[in-house]
Amino acid sequence: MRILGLTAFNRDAAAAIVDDGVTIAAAAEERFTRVKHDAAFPRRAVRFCLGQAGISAQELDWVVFAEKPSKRFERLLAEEIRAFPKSWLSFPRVLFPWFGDRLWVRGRVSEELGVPPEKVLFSESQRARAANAYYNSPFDDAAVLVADEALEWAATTLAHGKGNDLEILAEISHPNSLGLLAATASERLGLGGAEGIGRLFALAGCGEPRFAKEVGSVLKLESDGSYEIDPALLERAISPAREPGGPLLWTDADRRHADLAASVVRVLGDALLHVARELHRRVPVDDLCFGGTLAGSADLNARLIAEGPFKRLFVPPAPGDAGSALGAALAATYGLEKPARKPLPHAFLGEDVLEAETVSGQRAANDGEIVERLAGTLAQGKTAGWVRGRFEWGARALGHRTILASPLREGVREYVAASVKRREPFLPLCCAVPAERASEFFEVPAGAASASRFLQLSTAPKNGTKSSAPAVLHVDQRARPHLVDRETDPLFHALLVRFGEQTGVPILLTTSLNQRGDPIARGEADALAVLQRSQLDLLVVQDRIHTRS
Amino acid sequence: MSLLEFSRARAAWADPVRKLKTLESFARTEEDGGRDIAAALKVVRDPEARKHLERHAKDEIRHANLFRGRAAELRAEGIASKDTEEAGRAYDLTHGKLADQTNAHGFLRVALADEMGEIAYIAMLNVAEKRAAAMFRSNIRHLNHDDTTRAIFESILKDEHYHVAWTSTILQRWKKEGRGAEVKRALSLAKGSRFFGAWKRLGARSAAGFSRVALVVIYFTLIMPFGLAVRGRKAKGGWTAPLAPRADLARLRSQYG
Repeated sequence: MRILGLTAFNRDAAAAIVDDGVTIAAAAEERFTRVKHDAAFPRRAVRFCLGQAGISAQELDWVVFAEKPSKRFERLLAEEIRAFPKSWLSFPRVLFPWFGDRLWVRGRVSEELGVPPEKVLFSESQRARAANAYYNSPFDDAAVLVADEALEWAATTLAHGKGNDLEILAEISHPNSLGLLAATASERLGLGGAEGIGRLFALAGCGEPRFAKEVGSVLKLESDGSYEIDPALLERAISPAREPGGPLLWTDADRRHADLAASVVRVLGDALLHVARELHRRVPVDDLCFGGTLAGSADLNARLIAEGPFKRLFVPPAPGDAGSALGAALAATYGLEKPARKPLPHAFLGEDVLEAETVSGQRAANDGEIVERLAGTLAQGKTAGWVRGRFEWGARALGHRTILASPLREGVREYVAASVKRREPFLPLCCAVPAERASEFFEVPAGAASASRFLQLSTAPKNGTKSSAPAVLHVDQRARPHLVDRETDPLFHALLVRFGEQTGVPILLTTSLNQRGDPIARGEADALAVLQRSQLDLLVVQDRIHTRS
Repeated sequence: MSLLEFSRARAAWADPVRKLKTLESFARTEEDGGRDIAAALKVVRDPEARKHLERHAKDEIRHANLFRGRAAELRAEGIASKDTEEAGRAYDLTHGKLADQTNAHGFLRVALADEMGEIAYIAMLNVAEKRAAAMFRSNIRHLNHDDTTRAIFESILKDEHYHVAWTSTILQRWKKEGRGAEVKRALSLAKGSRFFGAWKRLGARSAAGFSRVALVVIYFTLIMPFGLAVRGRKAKGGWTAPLAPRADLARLRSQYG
């Protein structure tokens, strides 16, 4: 049974195709349109997915949209009514696109894809996120937690996944939404609202939670394991806000915005732990699958595993909006049929490298030469970009569209942020380490290996790491390691081992191959643009080696 | 080219931020065009047309690289910071829309050859390329202050002339081969769809304005009683049971529950 999952009109539109439970392809629309967080109907992503599956849209069994549009419309309408009369300006702005387009999604999907309307199905967004978290996990009996903003009503969802069955147990409805709290904080700090939640998490790493009491006053943890948020107090509680156009305060001189972000993340963590304990009471198992936008925080994930009741944690590579496209397809697959579970082996579900129409660059004879060249360059303290194979599903670069640097010297993080990525220095860089050697350098909890394979966990370094590889540590003195398996990605593993042989430390700094405001590179042309616009020293695209000269 | 388009182009090329965004949008359009023409190669059977389509597809990709390269150079010169780009985005030639909604060719959509058949497809290309050539000629007139960008447009314009020429030649040949009526109809449809598209856009914009006014009226009439009734009431908190614990076909078919 071939099912196409779609998400659109919110942010991070995406498409994914699943054939009898096996994920064939998944990609966010932004990779193709080059518009960050593109929310438009994911035409190009659909085209890619169908091409990768080698079928036409007419050969699909079902198309599943990751939202119940009428239910979401009901929620928005209720929200506008509740805010009467202050909502008189927002009412036409919010509801206009619904009457024009979004209430008629079935027709739109049918028209865009050329499939009969009866083939178009709808999954609740939270169910899609839960399915994305559970069905991609290696667990066979797991509690599932989803924490996000609300699209329909549900904002926090508890579920139980067992075998190929996923049961939604309970929900907390809008406006009691942890995602809304995070989005409001992001807005107040001028980070871009819901789209800036990732930056809020990063900024939190630079601060101390000294406003946690004030921020926490908005959120009441109930004895039944739920929570309540008073939306009327949100803006007042999340203070001091950033002045419009004013600087973001996160350095030693004045770090009040970073402290505010840290306070919000602390409060979010407390609430998540509270909910996780209730989930464990209802589903007393060892394994937790965590989905939704908040699962994109490596620090929150680390708290869940360190302080929560579960022993093992899985977070999918795209836990938020884009991931719901894959989740919707999986929810329908296992809702309509019961094929055997197929955990996601890797995140390389995107498009293969598109080679640019250039004749520049020299060709490497084999993989060994590529590894040698990259390891040599990086060991000299230079930076390199590496593009190969299919691009990653999700916001993390896992070695296929990645910027690499040596972590051996202090100051490398700042150099990469300023001269290569051209982005704010408070955004953390990650690092890659051979999975079998991770415990030598990092305190990776035993139950967090799955999450670390997709770069979803921050950890503390071991004692010697700070001196041997100082640049892996973020301002908060934590690292975000990507555990690279020899079996899953032998070439990246070989590079790490070779770099280790040359320098004594088999760790490389990694970050996505893009610059500020751009989506991660899609093919060679995008990668060459980064090379051209940055101080990157070397770029390897498949077997082609480009240098700055 | 209409006066409106002329003045819009002049304003776009005079502003560095809009210039950058326009170049990037042209790059996306050309790249998409190249891919679609390459896809059309699988459908179009005429050997001569196939030969030209092959070169045409490569031209489009090359144009995309030229536009993208120039945009990258401008970025590297610090022409626009990301912040000003975001602010300027709504005012560029694309109006912040995706490339396929406002592209240099006017109306080139994806995988059209499959839907249209080869005569209609080549006719559409012919009309689109003529429009693109006219647009590029107009753009060149506004680029006297930027020799590099101007040179790129001039080199692309030569290709556009070739694209117009080969599509015209093929259409002429098909006419001579007794397919004149089909060719005439296809050309009329292609030209008509452009004007129809413009008419639809104008209609949509007017309708959007009226609809918003109507929604405000609805707000203060139909919504007001409900608004007053629920004023001050708090939303329900705590756990609620889901409408459907499991997904089944009946539930999945529904847009609501």
